[in-house]
Amino acid sequence: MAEIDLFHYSPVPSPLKNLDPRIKFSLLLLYTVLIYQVHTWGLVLLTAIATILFFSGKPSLKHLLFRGKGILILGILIYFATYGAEKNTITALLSVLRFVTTVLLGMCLISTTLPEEIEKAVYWFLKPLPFISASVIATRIRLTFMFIPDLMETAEKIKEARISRCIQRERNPFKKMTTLIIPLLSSVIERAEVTAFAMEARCYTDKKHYTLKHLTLKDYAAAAVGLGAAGLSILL
Amino acid sequence: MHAQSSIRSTVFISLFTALTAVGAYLAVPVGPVPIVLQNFFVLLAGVLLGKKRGFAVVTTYLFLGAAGLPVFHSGTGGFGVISGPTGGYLLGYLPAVYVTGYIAEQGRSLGFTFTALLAGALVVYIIGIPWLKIVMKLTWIKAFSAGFIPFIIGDALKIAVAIPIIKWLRPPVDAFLQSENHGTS
Repeated sequence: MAEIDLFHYSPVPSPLKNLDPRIKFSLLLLYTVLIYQVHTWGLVLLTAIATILFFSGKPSLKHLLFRGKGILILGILIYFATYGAEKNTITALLSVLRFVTTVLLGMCLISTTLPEEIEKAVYWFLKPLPFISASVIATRIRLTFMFIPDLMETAEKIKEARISRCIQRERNPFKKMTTLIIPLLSSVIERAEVTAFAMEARCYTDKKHYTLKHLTLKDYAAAAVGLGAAGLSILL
Repeated sequence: MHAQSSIRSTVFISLFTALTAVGAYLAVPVGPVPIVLQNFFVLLAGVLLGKKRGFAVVTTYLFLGAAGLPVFHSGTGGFGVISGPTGGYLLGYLPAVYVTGYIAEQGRSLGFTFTALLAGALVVYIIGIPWLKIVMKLTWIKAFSAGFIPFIIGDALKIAVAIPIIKWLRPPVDAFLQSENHGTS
């Protein structure tokens, strides 16, 4: 399951790590909207930007093969699914580009931003909106980011255990599903208890105070370059 | 007490959001169309956590996906997926989880649980099929044959699997969230 790696923070140094999470999160939101709005060359530009940003994190060959395999398989599936519906090679290739760019941008954010920083960025983004508790939603998102890789690893272990017990060959679909879901949900209950007790022990409260850093010149420069590239992708 | 109960809610909402995201990657090979567990966890959240917490699970999930993170089916994400052909199914999770939670809160018998799951599964299609028809410019027959018929067996199986799992999971989840009910009443 190459997807496990999609949701991990990477300890490898990257220029993106020095950027403020608010800038990264805002640009990610903007680019994921643009990916589905721009024309062919605009999309190529966005894909090139996403690829450069991804490789700026200096992914190891092992990680690259690990990530690349999952993306390649999903890309092929998307190509054939789109080609089957549209009967057009260019449209199918553009769908694959959109998918690859979205995944690369998502990975750039996750691999260079700690869950705590994403929490702060989400809080800053949601704070001006009325009728919603920005701190509660930000905490939920931080916890979700922590749980996703854990649950994926658990699912992978369960799958390996099923293979070693030849459950994959089981014809009963009911048994096929329950042997995967029940151990996964057991781990969910255990995690819920451990996490809640840990948060209670640390006197967690909804009314959190977030310390947001001041934006530096580097952050403003990155925002300007990001917005410029977004504008160029619209014009192309 | 309220702070404690709120933590427990937050933890469960986050866990079920993570489960829904992971469910998009988990496929059980049954027949020609593999069963993806994404909507299974959405329905389970509705029954086990109730309408409000279930709604929070789906809202958080859609927010993450809309922000461009690869949590939707086949590792996709972004507003484009929501506005695309399958966006109706994703947005349909919001009323589906609410309806499932609402019915499940009316009673704990097998009948209520079954009705809640069935209603939730149908609501997803009620939103998803017309959306698919409009975006892909299909006829009603084509929209049904592409967006409903291939998934009937899988959804029936999910409901059949969900019922014993809910019976097994309800006591520990209720015990865990009990302080929430006391705290807010």
